[in-house]
Amino acid sequence: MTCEICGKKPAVVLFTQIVKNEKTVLHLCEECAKEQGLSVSVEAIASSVKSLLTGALAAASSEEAGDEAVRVCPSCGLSYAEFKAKGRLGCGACYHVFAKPLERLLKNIHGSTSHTGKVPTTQQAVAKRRQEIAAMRGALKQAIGREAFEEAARLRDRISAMEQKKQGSGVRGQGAVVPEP
Amino acid sequence: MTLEDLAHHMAAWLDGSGAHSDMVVSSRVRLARNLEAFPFVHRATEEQLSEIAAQALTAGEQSDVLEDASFFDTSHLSEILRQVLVERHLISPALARARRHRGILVERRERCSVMINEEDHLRIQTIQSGFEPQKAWELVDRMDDELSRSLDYAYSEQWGYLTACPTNVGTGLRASVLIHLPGLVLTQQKDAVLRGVTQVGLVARGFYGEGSQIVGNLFQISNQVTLGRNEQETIGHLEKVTRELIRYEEHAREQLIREARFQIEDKIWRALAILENARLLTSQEFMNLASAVRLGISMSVIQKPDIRLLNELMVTTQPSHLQQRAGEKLDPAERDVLRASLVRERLHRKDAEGGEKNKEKAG
Repeated sequence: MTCEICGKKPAVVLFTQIVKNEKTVLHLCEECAKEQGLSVSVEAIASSVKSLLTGALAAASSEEAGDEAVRVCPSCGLSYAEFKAKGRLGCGACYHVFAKPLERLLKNIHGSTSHTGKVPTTQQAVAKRRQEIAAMRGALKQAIGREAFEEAARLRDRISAMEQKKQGSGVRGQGAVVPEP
Repeated sequence: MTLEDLAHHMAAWLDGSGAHSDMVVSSRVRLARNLEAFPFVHRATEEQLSEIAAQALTAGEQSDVLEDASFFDTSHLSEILRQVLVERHLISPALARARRHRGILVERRERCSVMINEEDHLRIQTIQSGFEPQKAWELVDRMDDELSRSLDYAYSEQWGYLTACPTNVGTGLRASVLIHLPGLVLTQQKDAVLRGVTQVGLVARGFYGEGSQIVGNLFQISNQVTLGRNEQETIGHLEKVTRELIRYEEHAREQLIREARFQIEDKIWRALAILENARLLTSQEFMNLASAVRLGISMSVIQKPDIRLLNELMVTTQPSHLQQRAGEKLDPAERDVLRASLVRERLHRKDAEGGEKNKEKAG
C-alpha cells in the first residue's frame, strides 16, 4: 500500500477518524504523516484529515474521471460528490456507475482492484450456469458446422430455456430498488 | 431468551479456552454483507430496512449455527441494555443509537451473531476465546453459507462482496485478535512493534476497536485489506503476525524477569492485593491492575485467580453491566464502590470456576 499523499513511499501510518459517525481512513508514509503533524498530536490534525481525504478523492476523480464527479447513480440517486463527502456508496450499483474514479481509490486502500476470495453460493450457481450456456453455444456452433440441424435445434431450445431461467432468478429483487427521479 | 438472561450468562469467548489464552484474550472474525435488492443502510427507507431485517431473520431461522439465536431490536431496548450489548462486544456504538429496524441476532453463548442494518445490511460475526482466528473463520464461513442459501448478496465478480464503505469491499472480512502486551509496554518497545504491525498492513487499536483508547495494555490487531487477498490469506497473515507478537512479548517478559525481577513481582502482588481489598475502583484502575494480575498468572508469579475470572470481570465491571446489576442508573462514584465490591467478592470466592451462572444460583 502506498502513501495517499505522496503516492510514492509505503504507507506505515493508518489514520482513522470518526466524527458524528462519519469515518475517514488515511494511509500515510512516515514523512507525510510527520508533515501533517501526525506523530506529534493526533488532535492537532484531526480537523485537517477530512479535507485530506476529500483531497485524495478529488484527485482520484479529477485525474481519472473528469466529469464523473457530476454523475448520479441511476439506482439509488447518490452522486459522486455525495460519496466524496460521506465516504459511503449508496448501493451495489454505485460500484459499477463510479467504477472509473473508484478504481484509483480502491488501489490506494487495498493495493488491488479485483476480488480473489469467496463466491456466494447463489452466485456460484449463476457462474456455473453461465459456463454451461457457453459450452452449449460451442456445441451448437459445431452441430451447425456438421449440418446436424436436428441436434442444433435441440441445443438452441435448451439454451433459450436456460437463459429464461437465468432471467427468472434475476427478477427476485424486482420492485425493491426504485430509482429516484 | 431475554437480554437479562444474556447479561447473567458468561459469554463463551471469555471462558479462557483456546491457544495462548493467557496472552490472546479473543479472536474475532466478521463478514460485511449486503442484499442486492436494496440500497445500503444509510440510503434505505424505513420500509426497506424493515424488509431487510425480516429477510435476514428468516434466513437466520434456517441456520443451524444460529439455531437458538434471539433477535434484539435496539430501538426496543433501554439505554443501559444497549450499552450492555456494546460492552459485551456484540454491537458497535453506532448500532447502539437505537434507530428502528436495527439490532442483533445473537446465539445463546454469544459465539455467533449477526448485526442487522448497521453500516451494512448484515455483519456476520464470531468471537472465540484465545488465539483461534482459523476456528473463528470456519464458523463465520459456515454461517455465511447458511445465510446465503436464502439471501441474494450484492456481489460482483470484479469487486467481490459490495459494501457501503469501499474499505470493506471484496471479502468484507475483518479478522482481529485482542492481545495483552504488558511486556512490550513496560520495556518501551510497544511503539516500534506496533509500527512494524502497521508496516505489514495490519492495524492496532484499543479494546473497543475503531477510535477507542488503549486500556489495560490490550491491543486489537486486525487486517485492513479486503480486496485482492482471499479469506485464507487474510487469516493466515493475521495468525503469522500475531505469532510474532507473542514471541516479542515473551522476549520482553524474559528481559523483565532478568533485569527487574523484584520490581515486576512486587507490581503483580500489589495489584492483586489492591483488587482484593480496594473499596473504590475506577474502570481505568481496574483494567490496569487486572493487566498486572494477568501478567502474573501468565508468568506463573501467582497461581490465582484464573484467566477466566479476569475475563469475566473485564466485562462485568464496565459501567452499564454494573448498572444492569444494580437495577438502576448509578453515577461514576457509585459505580466505583459497586465495582470494588464486585471484584472483592469474586476474588475471595473460593470456587471461582463457576462464573456468573453459579453466582446467580448461590446468591
